[in-house]
Parts: sequence; structure tokens; C-alpha cells
Amino acid sequence: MECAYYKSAHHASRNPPVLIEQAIFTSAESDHAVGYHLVARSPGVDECDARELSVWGPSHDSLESSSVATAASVNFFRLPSGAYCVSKTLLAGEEYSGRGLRTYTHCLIVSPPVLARFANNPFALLRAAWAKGLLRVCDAVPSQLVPFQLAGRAAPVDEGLIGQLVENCGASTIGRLIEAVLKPLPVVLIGVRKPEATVAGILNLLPLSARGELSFATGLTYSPRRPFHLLISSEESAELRRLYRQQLVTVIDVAPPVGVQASPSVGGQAAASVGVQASACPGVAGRPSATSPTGWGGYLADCIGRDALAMLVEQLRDRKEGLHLTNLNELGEHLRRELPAYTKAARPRAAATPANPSDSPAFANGASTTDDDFLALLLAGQPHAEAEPESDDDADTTGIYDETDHAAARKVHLQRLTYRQAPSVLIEVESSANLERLEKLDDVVFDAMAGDERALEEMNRLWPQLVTELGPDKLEESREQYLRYSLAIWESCLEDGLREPDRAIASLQVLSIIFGER
Amino acid sequence: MSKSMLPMESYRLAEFAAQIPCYICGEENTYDAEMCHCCQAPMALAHQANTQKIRPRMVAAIGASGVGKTVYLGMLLDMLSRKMRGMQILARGAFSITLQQTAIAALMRREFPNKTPNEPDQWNWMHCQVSMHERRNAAELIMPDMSGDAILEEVDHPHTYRVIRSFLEKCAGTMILIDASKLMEGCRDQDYFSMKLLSYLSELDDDPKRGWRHRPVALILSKADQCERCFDDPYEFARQHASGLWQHCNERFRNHQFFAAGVAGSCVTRYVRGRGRVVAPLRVEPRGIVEPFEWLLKQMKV
Repeated sequence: MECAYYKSAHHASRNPPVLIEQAIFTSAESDHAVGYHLVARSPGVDECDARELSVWGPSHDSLESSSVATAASVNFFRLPSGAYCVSKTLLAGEEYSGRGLRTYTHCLIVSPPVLARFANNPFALLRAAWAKGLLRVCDAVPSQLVPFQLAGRAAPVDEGLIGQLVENCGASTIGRLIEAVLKPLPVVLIGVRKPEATVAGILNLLPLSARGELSFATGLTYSPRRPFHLLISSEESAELRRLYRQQLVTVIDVAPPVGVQASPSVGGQAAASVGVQASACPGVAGRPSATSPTGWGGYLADCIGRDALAMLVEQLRDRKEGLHLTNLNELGEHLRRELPAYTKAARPRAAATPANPSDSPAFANGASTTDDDFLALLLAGQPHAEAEPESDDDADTTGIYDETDHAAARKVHLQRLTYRQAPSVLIEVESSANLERLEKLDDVVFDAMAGDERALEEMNRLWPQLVTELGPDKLEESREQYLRYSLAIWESCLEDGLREPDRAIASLQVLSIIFGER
Repeated sequence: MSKSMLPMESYRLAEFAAQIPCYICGEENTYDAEMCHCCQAPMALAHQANTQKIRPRMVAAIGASGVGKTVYLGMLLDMLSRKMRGMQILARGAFSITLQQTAIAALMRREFPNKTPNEPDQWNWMHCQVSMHERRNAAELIMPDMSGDAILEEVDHPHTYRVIRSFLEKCAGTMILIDASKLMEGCRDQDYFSMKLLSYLSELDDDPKRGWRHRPVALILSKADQCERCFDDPYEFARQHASGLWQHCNERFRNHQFFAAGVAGSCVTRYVRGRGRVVAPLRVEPRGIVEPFEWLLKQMKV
């Protein structure tokens, strides 16, 4: 049977734009019900989806944490219509019957084409909605919500998140984690310090077409009523041990054991523990490092271990259709066999690059001086040295770079520009006070470029003050970075074909302040 | 190389070959399942029922969210566990004591118990043995503390909660709780919700002989301590303040009776840091708790 949503998506392709529907599940006294129910929804949410939202909706005490400051969860699952539900659950406001704080869930019902624009990454979509102020908690929930349009898109792979995950967990743990995720049993992660970043990192290690199949909740307790496939538990509780004992869930401890530093280059050796400690759960015979992960998990562990992350990222960027969680293991095994050949080929090339990092300055976000060359090319419209041909033979035969190479290199460059870090990270400063000032400036500038008028006013006041305090040299570098950022915004608008005059005007206003006194 | 003998225990797999049906929904479950994979009712009910000669009977306590089901059931169990009015309840299984324990512990802290979550796996179930002085044999009863939110969701969208539907289909009688203080304030919601529940029940089993039309229904006006008039004549109070419900009962349910009950003497609203506004009981003064249950058991011929 064809999914209802695909029918409407097909219809929408002829009549864009596709809207994002929304719904709120919380405890309230409404005209038709009391307690936890779907309090409000936009007209496009059909009955079948509304019912599913009620079933998956988290009620009282469903959040892992009971503290307002830390209780939050990002949830993702597929609805019967074929659309996806991306939701954020918080503790917000008082329960109508005077029984403490209510659990508040704002659901966004997203069509597959819209989610695909955000690289099938629910976090990217949620960030965009949050930035537009569309996820505000309503004390008095409106009886009806309106659907909205969300501009923007996300890069297919966030290298920063993958790097963070590798640093925190290590190759072997990541391999086992992905191996478990690809099995039918729900997976509960424990020992996670940053739940959202961890799940986002895991998503980034899956091909684009398979990401939508992984349902997850970053801060909800396990319930058979809400069959999320990936969950995060704040602690190893008796309830979790029961679930593990009854083989209802797989539990993976991603925290490195005490005294062991997780390392990305472990080459398949366990650097972090996997599975609940043997002492806690009978049935787990010691540390599960005896067998190495297989399938896609094994491939990822090998890539990380052999320092072939760049190749992995390129493969993940490739928008291959038809890859599902069920056939990833097969693909992983196939790619694993090809991996030694790649690493052999990569070595001579690596040897040719300067050994001393200072010869080729590289920033934490992956930007390098070659980016600067590319920026020059971008501005001058000239060919550039970074658009390196795929093989040496190509360069020998053609001598110049064709349009396809140029476009590909330009795309890579734009992605790097978008994820360029803030000047406060890139610029060397002597004192922590100055660093704080620069960080504050970053916040204000980025908020102002995002259209925050108060931030723009603040920047008007802050910039001249910092010019006098830090001196023109330091701010010259900041100015350059902000210019790059605004150029990235401009370029991304050109690339997307989405005209966003608001963003352009906000960026121009910021630029006029930072170049104003010249 | 040392040799060791390992006993063959594959015969144990035979236990898994024989499936155990859930006592509530009847779905087959594995031997070691703790909860039914389909309705999330505890499988202990099925295991215990299999060891009894007499099949346990089921009694429901239903009502909208916040009417006081958890407090009422907790107090009822606490009172009957200490033998009252010639009636005594003995819990079967440790899980059967949790409801009484949590409700009474909260009241002792001068708090009401936490809101019952929507998720059926989080509900407290009670399997108990009820002995009455005029009867020789004790009866077996099963009573869950179901979430009011879930009950209303099932009533509005049937088949959303299989456990509720299956349980109510098999119930021998029910207690429907209605918030008397809200009725007194002139709020009609309680009237509507109770009518919805009764409609749901009458459609659930319309068998002319064994259907809900003939099963006993105790209508309990809860929080009656906040409107003393209710204790004087619950029937008249319902006629005046919940006319729809009163009419519905008279038309469709032959075996029904109105009762008034209250657990807290008086309540206050206080602000708790990190939890916000919380309603708390100032004293515990149970009234009219046992009578509806006693009436129900008599009608059920327990």
C-alpha cells in the first residue's frame, strides 16, 4: 500500500512549498479532555498520525531527569502516513491539577523531502526551527496550531560531531554501538555525557537514506509503549538491569573505563567498555572486547582505527539511495575488504604533504590555508590550487581543471566556510579576560547575523569598545572571520536557491558596523 | 588438559515451547515474560491464576484524570488489609502491595501520590484474596490502578490501549469515580467524562444477559470532604449536579448506586521549589471508602 504521505509529497512536488505540521502533547484541561493528550495540532495532521502521536507521547515521569535544568529529550520516529515526527520534550509549566511540573512535547511533523533537505538529521531541523523561535513553550496552549515553512538545509555530514564521538568513545566502542543499533533489539546507552551530541554523531555515521529508519529519544525512559530503537539512560538503574536480564534491550556503556583514555586510533582494540559491567548484569562475561565488531560497525571501527575518516566522510556524503539499516552490514563487510587497498594508496600521498603542522596551518574545524586560496579564487573567479584533481594522471593530461572539479571544490569549500569556527576559537589571545570578550563578541555577532535586533544594538555598543581595548590587530583577524561567515551565508543562499533577504540585510548591518569606522 | 562435565539442560527449552496466555488480553507470552508483550499487564497474574482453583475476578476503578483513583484504591487496600466491617484483603504477590505502599507513604508525607503515568507498564496492579465474615470461601480479585489519561484516550479512540479494553470486557463490576468538588463548582466536565465512560462500557458488551447493563456499577463521588452535602444524599447530589450521568445510569444500568467518599480532611495549595504549585492534604480523614466496595462485592455475589 502506498504511503499517504508519499501521495501528498508527490502532489507537493508539483505545488511547493511543503509545510511542516505541528502538534503539542502535554497535560492540560482542554475542551475535550483532561490530562495528557494531544492538546493542539495543526490542520494537516491526520487522525491516524494524531493517534500515533498520542501513543508515543511521553507523560508524567517519562523524562530521565526530573530537574528542570537538565530534563530534555529530542525524539524522532516515523508516523503511519510516512512523515517523520521530530519532537522536543521538556519539563515546562505546572500540571493543571497541581501535581508538579508537566512534561511538554512539541512535535514537528515533517515530510520526507523536507527532512532530506536537512540531511535526514532531526537535530539540524530542530535547530533551524528553534532559531526561528518556532519551538517556544506556550503556557496557555493554543487550541489550534498553524503549519509553517522552514528554509535552510544542512550539510550531509558533520565532521565535528563525528570527531567528538570518536574522541569520547573510541573506535571499538563506536563499532560495537553501531553494530548493536543495526540489530532489532532496542539499544540503551549509558555513561553518555552529551546525549544529543552523541546521538547526532551516531546519525552522522549512517548513510543519508538510512538515517530516517533510526528512531531515538535522547532523554526518555524506556517504555514498550514507545518503541524507540535508541535511548540514552542517565544511570544504570535496577529497571535497566531488569530489561537487560530479560533481553528486552541491549545496554552499551560508552564511558571509557576509569584510567583509560578513549582514543580514536585504537585500531580495533577496545578503549572503552561496551555492555553493562559484568558485576552489574549477570550474563555478560567480562569485557566484551574479545570479539571485534562486524558489518557496518566493523567498517567504521576500521576506518577510525586506520585514520581513514576522510574517506568515510566522503562516502557518507555520497547521497546513495536505497541504503537501509538492514543492508548496511553487507555493505560494511564489502567496504571493509577494500579498506586495506585505500590505506596503502593513501600513505604515499600523506607522505608528500608537509610533516610539520606549522607548514600547513589547520584549524580545529578542518579549515586550512588552502581555504584562503580558494576564497581568493571565489572572489577573483580564477582557477585555484586547492581544486586538486582526483588523480595525478588527470592533472597531467588536462593541465587545467574543468567545471565539474571547480563546482565540487567550491561546494566543499562552502561547507567548510559554513562550519568555520568562531574567531574566539581561532585567534590566539593572551588572557582569559580577552578570550571572554571575544567569545561574547562572537555570540553577539552571530545572533545579529541571525536577525536578532537586540544583538545588533549590543554589537553597536560592544565593537567600538573592543577596538579600543584589544587593539586593531586582533580585531582585524576577527573582522576577516566575520566577513568569511557572512560570505558563507551569501553563498549558501545562492547555492540553495532560497532568497533570504532578512539574513542578507542582517549580515550587511553587521558588516557595516565592523567596517564602519574605516 | 583438564576435562569437565557439563549437564545437558536443553530440556529446559521445553518451557519456552509452551506459551502462557496473558490473563488480561489472552495473548500468548513466553514462559519467562514479566509483562505481556501485547498489553503490558503483569504476567504474574496469569501465573498466579494458573495455581488457583477459582479464577480471579476483576474489578475496575475508573474515572477521569485527577479524580483520586490512586488515593481511593490505596486507602481502600490499607483499610481492608487491617480488617474492617468484617472484610479483609490479603495481597497475593509483592507487586500487589506497591499501590498501597506508595499511596499511604505519600499521604504520610502530607502529599498526594504522583500522577499515574500513561504507560501501562508503569501501572500498579493488585491481586488479592478477599474474605468476608458471612462467607466461607475467600474470593480472588484483580484490580489495577489505571491512568485516567489513558482511560479517556481509550474511550475517545477505542483500541488505543488494549489493556484497558480487554480488562473492562472481563470485569465483573466497576467503580466510577467522579470529582464531587468540581461538580459542586458547576463544572460540567466531570458529568461529560462519566457519561463517556458509561457509553463506552455499554457498547463494550451489550449482551442482554451478561452485558454491562446487568453488571454492578458503583458511582463514587470522590473528594466529598470538600462538599459535605454530598455525604447526606449522594443520589440527590448526583441528580442535581450531574443530571446527564444520573439519567444515563437510570436508563442504561440496572444495577447501580451512588456513593460519596473522601480521604483528605482539607487541602491546601503550596509552592514547592522545582515542582511548582502542588495540592497537598492537611490531614487524612477517610470517609465512605469501604461502602462502595462492599456493595460491589455483594452485587457480584463474591
